[in-house]
Amino acid sequence: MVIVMSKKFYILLVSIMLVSVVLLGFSYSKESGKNDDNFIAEINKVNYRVVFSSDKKLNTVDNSKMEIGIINKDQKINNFALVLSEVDNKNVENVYYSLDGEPNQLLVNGIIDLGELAPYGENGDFAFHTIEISSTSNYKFNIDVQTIESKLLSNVIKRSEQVYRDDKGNERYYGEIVDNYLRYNNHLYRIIGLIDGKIKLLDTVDMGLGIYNSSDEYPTLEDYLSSFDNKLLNIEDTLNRKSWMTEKRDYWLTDITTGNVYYASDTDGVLAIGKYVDLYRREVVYLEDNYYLSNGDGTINNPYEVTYGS
Amino acid sequence: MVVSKQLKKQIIIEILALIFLIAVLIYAFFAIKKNEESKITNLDGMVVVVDDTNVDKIKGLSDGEGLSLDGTTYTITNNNKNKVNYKIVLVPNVHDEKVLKQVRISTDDLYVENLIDLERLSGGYVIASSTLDSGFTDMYLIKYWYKLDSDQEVLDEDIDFEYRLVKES
Repeated sequence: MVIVMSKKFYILLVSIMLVSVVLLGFSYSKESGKNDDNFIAEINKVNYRVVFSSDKKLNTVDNSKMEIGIINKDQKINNFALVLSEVDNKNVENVYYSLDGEPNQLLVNGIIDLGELAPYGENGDFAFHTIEISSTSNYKFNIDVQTIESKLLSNVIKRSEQVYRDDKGNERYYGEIVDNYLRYNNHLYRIIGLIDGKIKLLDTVDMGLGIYNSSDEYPTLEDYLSSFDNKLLNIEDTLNRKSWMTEKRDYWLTDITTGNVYYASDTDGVLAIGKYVDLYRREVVYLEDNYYLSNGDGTINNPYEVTYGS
Repeated sequence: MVVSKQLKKQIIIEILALIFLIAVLIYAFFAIKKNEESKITNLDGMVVVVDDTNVDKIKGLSDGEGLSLDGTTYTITNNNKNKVNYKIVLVPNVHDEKVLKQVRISTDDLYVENLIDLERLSGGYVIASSTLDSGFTDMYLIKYWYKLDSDQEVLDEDIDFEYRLVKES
């Protein structure tokens, strides 16, 4: 006997599938239906996540403000930038932005540097920003967030393998051969480091021999002792070590904690001395942390060049 | 008895369909169970659903880690005929200032604040304040954690929160 049940089979099959679909739809709506009302745009990548307060669009007329939260999910420091692309491919001119309520800055190349975030799991792995754009013309932008290599000079310094962070949180160049040359205002400087939030420079050209002048600013004893090794060296040890700050000319140092004065010498090491002898006077200059690298690699033949602002 | 090739095929398909039905039944069971675990309350025509089924014991975390938690979903629906101004107040079961100072709180994965910096109301802290039109629903995603550098004494404190809805006239 050959059994054929095709009609019953199809009725049963269709019934099972119908029950399944109804159940699936019902249970899915129970579980996830409540999420429908809360739309927030986000970017979710392997190494970072961005949440936007609205859809990823801005325009200069009636939707000019946005809030974003960024989580660095990477195990290393990342620098983030907001990238604005004009929807109609217009040539963007005279668009200004305000980041976190700061004064307006001109938008250049559609990129707003948002700064660095610490590795995931450390303090500072999240940042919240408000961005507002303005212009007399009508522009519409799509918004994206990307990781970029920061050109902020202080970040370039932090990234250098010839720099270490001291116990006060300052970033200092150390070692004998260091690519820390910077051309600024037609002077060639060497970067001591990122000290107290400012970029501290040492002029390569001295002001000649002279007695200690308290109105001049000389490099500190700490600057000198920190330039030898990745730690603060003792005064007695300097002769046995190498530093980019050691030179054939003896020059003034200041101890800002005691007010005593010293001189640095390649033959004598570091010694305390009275103020009324003739030593070379090397000037210290500070840059605000708002200079961006425009050129150079920090070597003596190709020193860093910087521009103010982004 | 000779079973035709066609019948064999039909039996296999039918078994597969039954397996699919059983899988759907299991999914439906858990989905509905999870939904029923949500706390549903009704306050003067405001229906509130709090789903904290995936919230674990509070831990010391960075902000990035805290924002990667599942969190509590707070859904509020206005079944009144008029629009309603409301505030959502988070009331801790711990009142030790030392502990509360270490609590970070986020809403919608965007705003992160110290709990104690929020507006105080009804014995708690205001985490959201808004107006809801008749028939509309607002939803919030709420997460909390201890600051990463919290003392062990604070981390040992298993703080929990009650959600309180305050309607404003």
